[in-house]
Amino acid sequence: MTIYTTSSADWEASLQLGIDLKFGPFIIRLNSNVKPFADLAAALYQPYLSPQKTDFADFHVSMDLPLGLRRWLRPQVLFGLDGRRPFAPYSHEHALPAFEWGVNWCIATRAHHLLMLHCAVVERNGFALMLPAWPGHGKSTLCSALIHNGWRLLSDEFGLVRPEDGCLLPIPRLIPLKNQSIEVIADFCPSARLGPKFYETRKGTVAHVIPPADSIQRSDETAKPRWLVFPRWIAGASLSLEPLPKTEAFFMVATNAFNYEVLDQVSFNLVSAMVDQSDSYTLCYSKLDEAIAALNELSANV
Amino acid sequence: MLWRDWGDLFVAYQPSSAETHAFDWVTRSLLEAGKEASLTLDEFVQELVSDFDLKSEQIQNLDLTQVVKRLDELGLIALQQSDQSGL
Repeated sequence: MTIYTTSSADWEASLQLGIDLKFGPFIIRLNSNVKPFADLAAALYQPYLSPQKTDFADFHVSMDLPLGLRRWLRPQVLFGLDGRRPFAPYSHEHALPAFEWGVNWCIATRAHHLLMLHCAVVERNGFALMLPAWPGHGKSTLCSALIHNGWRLLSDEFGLVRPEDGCLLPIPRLIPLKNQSIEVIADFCPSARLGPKFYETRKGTVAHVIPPADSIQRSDETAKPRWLVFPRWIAGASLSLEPLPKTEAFFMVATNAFNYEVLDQVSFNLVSAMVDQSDSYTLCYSKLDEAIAALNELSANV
Repeated sequence: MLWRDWGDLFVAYQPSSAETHAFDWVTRSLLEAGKEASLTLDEFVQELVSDFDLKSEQIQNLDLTQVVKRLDELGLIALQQSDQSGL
């Protein structure tokens, strides 16, 4: 049974009691008494409502107004996890990006039953294209473009690798675009649904791409590793998609994993197997249409 | 040690330290040779020369003393105190 609340007033009331959001393999139990946050949650998290409230949640998260003056004067919002406040308060207007960043932190610091790679993952025909990248290399922009051009979103941030079989688990959450990338995607993907812009956040202007409904509905369908592509957007660069030696690919994946050291030998075996199963490339590009055409060609050859 | 060989460098996982290393073929050979028996650096050079059909001059260009010291630091071999060239 799927329970949907439809109005932001319903959401405001539900959030005070606590709602369960299903982000891929994780259940987030979210409480909030912040009305503007409830309004945004109603608009953006509706598809993530867990079919039913369970006894167990992976993360108990709160987004609350602080006590004291900051509840009323230039109000702030506090991210909480299991009753603790791990971060300094955020501006009231930035509650939604603060929640998204906070959930990232929850996953990165606690989900050590999975190998967590810092990469975007998209899927086609059951095979995963992994896009590990460092900040500023255009991972989210390329990922957003791909999911509006025939690829299914597994994740923009976490490559979640299941130790039992090395498959990638979907966690198709909102995709945060920053600064110029927002207009780039709005222009390149007219069908993309974007949330509101948040100005002057800690990462500049941020807006979130809402994943296609199909990606969220299929968030239990895993994918097998098939391509490792390390993208880098460089202004004015000609397209280049160059094969990468497997040893180099191994270390590039391992060093940008969130918890390679935590899982010891399990990580070594998983990353080795992933590199064995995948063709590895570096991708330099300046034009999204060229990059997508090159990646589509890769997938067509399977 | 767990090894992966992808034809360029060797990748090795060291369970005792939970570290992952990349080694070239000389270092891999040195670790394998040291696993079989205790030997001096000169003996190892002779093994390389015969096993890989190399000339001694080619080996002399490699800084094996530094390689051995680094492997000792990593706990992958044990240098003998009396003779630093012994593995």
